[in-house]
Amino acid sequence: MTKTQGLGHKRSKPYILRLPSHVIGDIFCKLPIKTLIYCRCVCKAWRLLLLDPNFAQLHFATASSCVLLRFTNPPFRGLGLYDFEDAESGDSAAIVFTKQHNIPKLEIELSSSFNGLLCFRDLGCIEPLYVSNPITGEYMTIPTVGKNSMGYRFVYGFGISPNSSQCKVIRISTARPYGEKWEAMVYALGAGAWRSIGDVPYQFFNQPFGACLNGALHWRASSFSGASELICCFDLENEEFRLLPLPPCYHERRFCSIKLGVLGGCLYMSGFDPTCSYPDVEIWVMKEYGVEESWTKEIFIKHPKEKWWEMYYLKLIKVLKNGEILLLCNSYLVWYNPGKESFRRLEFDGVPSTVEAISHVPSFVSLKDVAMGERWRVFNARLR
Amino acid sequence: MSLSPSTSKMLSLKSSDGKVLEVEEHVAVLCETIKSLVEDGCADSPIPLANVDGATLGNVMEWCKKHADQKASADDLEDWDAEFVERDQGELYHLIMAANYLNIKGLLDLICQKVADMIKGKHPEKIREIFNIENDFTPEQQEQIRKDNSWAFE
Repeated sequence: MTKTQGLGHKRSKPYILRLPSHVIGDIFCKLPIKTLIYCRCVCKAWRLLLLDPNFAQLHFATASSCVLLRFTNPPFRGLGLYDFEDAESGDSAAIVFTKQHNIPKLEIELSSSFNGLLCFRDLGCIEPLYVSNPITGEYMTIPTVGKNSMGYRFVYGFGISPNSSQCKVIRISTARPYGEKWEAMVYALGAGAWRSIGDVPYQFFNQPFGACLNGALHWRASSFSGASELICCFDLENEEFRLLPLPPCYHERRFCSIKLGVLGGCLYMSGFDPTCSYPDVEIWVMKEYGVEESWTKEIFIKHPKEKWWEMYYLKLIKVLKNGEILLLCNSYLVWYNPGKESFRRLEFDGVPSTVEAISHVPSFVSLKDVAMGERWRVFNARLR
Repeated sequence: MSLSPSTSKMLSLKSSDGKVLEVEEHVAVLCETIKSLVEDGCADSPIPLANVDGATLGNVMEWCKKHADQKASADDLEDWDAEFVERDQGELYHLIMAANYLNIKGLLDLICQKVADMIKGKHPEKIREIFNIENDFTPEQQEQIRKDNSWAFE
């Protein structure tokens, strides 16, 4: 490439800066988040483009998920974003988040991730909840329900209504020791207060935040008699509850469920046959949303017969492009190769690390766009 | 209308510098822009392509010909593409502009990926050097930006 044009000494505009903005946007969408932050520091034109909310939407639509890890044992501390798809970075963090720039707290429970936003709470606390985008450094605190929030059991969910684009947190709780009456409350960002949406005719197990898919949140529940397990679904738009069909394993034999979650855009249910002495973990995927016949046994995790294996604390994090399955088991991050039926744990210097993990799509989506006027805060507001 | 190789007729494409290229129709229709002209029956006379020079048009049609070849395997195409994008920035720029103008998604994706690979993992100074981009921030802005984004540089 020539640095000068004609006889003049004025630099000609570099080829890359002559590209139409949608083309350079396409190029940016193929880059990892860390490189995009480097690109933001290259020149004014790129800075403007990368701060454009339209670019944030385009990027989010094409971005692939990373894994957010919180290390729970010394000497490692803190929160790191990992891209385990990228062979070059290996097991090293793409980005380590700091309290000065990204997120107000590091000792947190990673509750839920949706639409590039993270919902978390202080370790060991039920409330308050925080909503944050650690990449843009924005965060807000969801007010607590209040004094009358005393309860015995709680389940939560976090998501965005598809049509009205309202960011909502939902809490279903029971104030009675035997859980015979459950009440649902909703906090819509911008509303300033929680509101009750009435009783829910099911009871709930202790479980992580509801799985958000198709504009709805999903939890494992049971009927009041306790006789049958259910999949309870809450529509974030019309705020109504309904049930989804269970996978056929429930009807055919004994099946003990572990988790309900989202995998590759589908709802999944993991579980095992409790009559086996070393049961394998089955992962059933509802290929077509709401269609009972579409439940398919997609993944099979062989029992490793190792001491660290604990099925009740098994969480599916993501399926990697090479077919390996990333799991969180009893605070260990585990790669499972279904072909070889082999396991590998995340370790440093030969010592397995204990972590908390969540699949998260790093994005430039601004909290401002979902806050609906509610007070939100940002680090380094001047230059973002 | 059949676009299969056996019945394919020839199309004339005229570049911005007046060069005329004869290309088989089933190859040329990989360009969505040309495909619409063919479908509208407007592709009889030489098709003027005012935004694509002769050399670039030649390169674009070479890519289309390879990708229209039904016998080429996916692996073969991948290797061929990897070699095809080994060009200087000027040629890559003209190919991107042509792929954009002629609306060839596969080619545009390929070159965008090539450019992304050139940027990936590089620090701002290195990116400026590779692409000859001027640092137009004032020293104060530069200092502030670096400070605010320091977390990504650790």
